[in-house]
Amino acid sequence: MIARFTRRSLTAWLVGTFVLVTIPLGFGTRADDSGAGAFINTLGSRAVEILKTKGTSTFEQREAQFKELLVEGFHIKTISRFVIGKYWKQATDVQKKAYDDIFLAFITRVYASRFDAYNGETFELVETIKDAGGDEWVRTRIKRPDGGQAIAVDYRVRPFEGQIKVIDVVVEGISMLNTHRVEFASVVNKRGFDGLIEELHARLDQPVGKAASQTGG
Amino acid sequence: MRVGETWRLRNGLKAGWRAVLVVAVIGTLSACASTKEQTPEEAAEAAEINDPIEGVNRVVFEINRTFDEVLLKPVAIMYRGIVPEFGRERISNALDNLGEPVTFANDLLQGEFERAGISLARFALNSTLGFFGMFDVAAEGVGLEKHKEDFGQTLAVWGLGEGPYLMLPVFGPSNPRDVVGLVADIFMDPFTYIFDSGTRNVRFLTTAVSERSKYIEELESVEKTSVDFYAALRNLYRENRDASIRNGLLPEAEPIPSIEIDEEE
Repeated sequence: MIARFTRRSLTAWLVGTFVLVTIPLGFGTRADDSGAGAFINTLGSRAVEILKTKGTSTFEQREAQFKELLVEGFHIKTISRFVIGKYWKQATDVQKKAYDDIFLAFITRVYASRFDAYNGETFELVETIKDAGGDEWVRTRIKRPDGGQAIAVDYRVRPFEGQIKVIDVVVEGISMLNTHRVEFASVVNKRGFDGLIEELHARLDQPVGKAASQTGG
Repeated sequence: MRVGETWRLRNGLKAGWRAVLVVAVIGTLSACASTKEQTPEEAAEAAEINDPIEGVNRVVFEINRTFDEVLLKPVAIMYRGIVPEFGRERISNALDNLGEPVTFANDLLQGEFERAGISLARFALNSTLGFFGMFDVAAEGVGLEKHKEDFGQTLAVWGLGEGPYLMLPVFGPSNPRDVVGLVADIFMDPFTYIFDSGTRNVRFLTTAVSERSKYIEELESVEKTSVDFYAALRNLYRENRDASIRNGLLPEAEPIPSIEIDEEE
């Protein structure tokens, strides 16, 4: 029993020391042959560039730029189908079209408003891991300026016809895909497919960008 | 004074047991509620959502939301307006430092000896050189990063399931396991016994305002872009807890099928 404990804690110390020594050396030394890390780095830098114009641009302008980023970097179709799940098959053609017509605008609003809340945060790549299913997870951290713990943001990426695309963004363990999936299911169960379409439109009609911090403009 | 101390402790214990009892009752009720007939598919879906008393939870959620709208959020906004970032960071660090003993104890209970060591070293360094924890010298100087553990996570590591989702008044999203954890952490915390009740209240309220002030825009954004804010927060809480239990390691990923062909064409 004691021997087991000692061995375990020894391993923990060794692993710990290894981690502490390796992480500051940076991700550059890690194998990243698919270019997933570089891909996320480019996306992240472009997002930061968009946010830098905060003082001079309107939310609508930044949102339009985020939309370009999403269309280029995310696989919207995979995301939209996963999020609607089993309800897709039950929908009529008219409902399907209505859903496809609104989904990109909705997801753009989600990401744009989430990122727009950032102010002075810095972004760094941690590592890239391949999961059992073959997807790559690019792990990044957003450091907060107000002394909070850094926010862990993981990008799940997959190649589509040779091009790497993001299929999920996981913030502190919270998958955007799963969150939308349960939300959508909850609304469809209560109000039907049309109720969901209605609600997506209602979300887009909400005014944005008048958050408490932006009094200084 | 001594009598008051004992009485207070006894009261605390009583409140703790009451919380445990309430959870037991809710657990039993929800077990009864979920025994009605379901198809296997419905049962699987219910298990995934894990919210048998959703109706009650939603009512409590609306009350919490009102409480947040009229009191907590405005105070947090005011706090952010009055206290500059530097001050808020000092306060937040000092409060986090008070939490290190509980993290240390739970690290030990989970057999995470390396993390326990980090937590202990952080507490020693930051309480002294860091001036009562206001400066995180352990992270900035020696690279000992902050982490948090609680008894709810310890129970999870020990193999206890979370139980049905619960929306607690004031405390917000939880589950029976985490309620037990919350109570256990209070008993485990040396500052519960060191501080008098006034200081304990100040600590509790300051923590609430300080934490809330960090998420004003984020929560606003989630609320505005959620088609079902309640369901979104439920998922947020559960996935975030799971990530904390795994200490930030990646989960076993759910397969996401690629949709490459456009059905419309």
